[in-house]
Amino acid sequence: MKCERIQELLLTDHMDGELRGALRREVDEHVRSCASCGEFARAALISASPLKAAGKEEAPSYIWHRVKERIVPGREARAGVMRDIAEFIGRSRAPLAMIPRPAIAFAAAAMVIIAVLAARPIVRDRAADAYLNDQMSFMISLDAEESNGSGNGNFFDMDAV
Amino acid sequence: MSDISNELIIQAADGDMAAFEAIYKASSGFVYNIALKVTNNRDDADEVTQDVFVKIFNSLKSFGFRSSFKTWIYRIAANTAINHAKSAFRHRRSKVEYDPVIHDVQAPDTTKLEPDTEEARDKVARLLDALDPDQRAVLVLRELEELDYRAIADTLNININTVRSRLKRAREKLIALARKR
Repeated sequence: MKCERIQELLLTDHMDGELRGALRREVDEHVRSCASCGEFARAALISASPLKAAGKEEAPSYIWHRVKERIVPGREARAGVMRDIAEFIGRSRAPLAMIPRPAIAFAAAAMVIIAVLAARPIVRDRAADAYLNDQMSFMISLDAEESNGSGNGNFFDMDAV
Repeated sequence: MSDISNELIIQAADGDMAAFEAIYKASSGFVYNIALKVTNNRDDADEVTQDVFVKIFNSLKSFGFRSSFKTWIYRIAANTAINHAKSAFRHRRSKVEYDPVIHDVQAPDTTKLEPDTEEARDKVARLLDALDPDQRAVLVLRELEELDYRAIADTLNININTVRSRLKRAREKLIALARKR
């Protein structure tokens, strides 16, 4: 293996324990026998891993307070919206709570009946329509006879028609 | 990071702040360290750490338990930090492109670094200045978080050979800085 490749491995896999087995032994033997690579290995060992020497530090305590300040307003804003909605629903229900339950049940039933009746004309019954039309024509003809003076004035005297 | 149970994640996703605080306590250390080393600036690290946890809180409901929670947080932290560092870098470069101080930075003597000292951290910060945010990210995930290459590739959504090449270039720069002294 060439010195260039050996030095590359010294700075990476060899230094970081990623090199194992025969390849590692080959690098170690080369370093022992090559003055240039031996010197490079010593320099790498001394200079290339400065962070370990510096050690780890604790995060300053104020960071948690700042994180909380940035999180809590967002959470509270969301919670505030939910609270407002809940309060609105609560306020809307408050007057209902003062009305007796049977009255609410009666009002609800009345609303259902009105809704059903309101929907009825949409569902057309042809037989009923024909009957109503006949009745309407009959009433109009009665009215016409009345104004011509041909009627007997008895609205319900079917024989006179 | 200590273990975070699925139950805790579900509670936090439902808006339980105590559960979310427990997640924060378990993971803020590595999020802050990634942010600090990738941005290489304390104010930026504060901002990134806050952004990461706001993102986590807002996305908890969409976490599908398909990957590990830790990997998910690593991914959010690393990508937020890289994006922040890149935009901050562009901003600063446009302001002080020819600032002589930047070109005069002395390479620190990393052979005498002592853990957990301000001096050591200042020296590391000056070294990290020579690297770009992508290189810092792979270095911090490898050296501080001790992730293997596969995990780094998954976290950053890059090819495993890209992990190797970024580590190689980053370390070559660090060696070159040390030799300049």
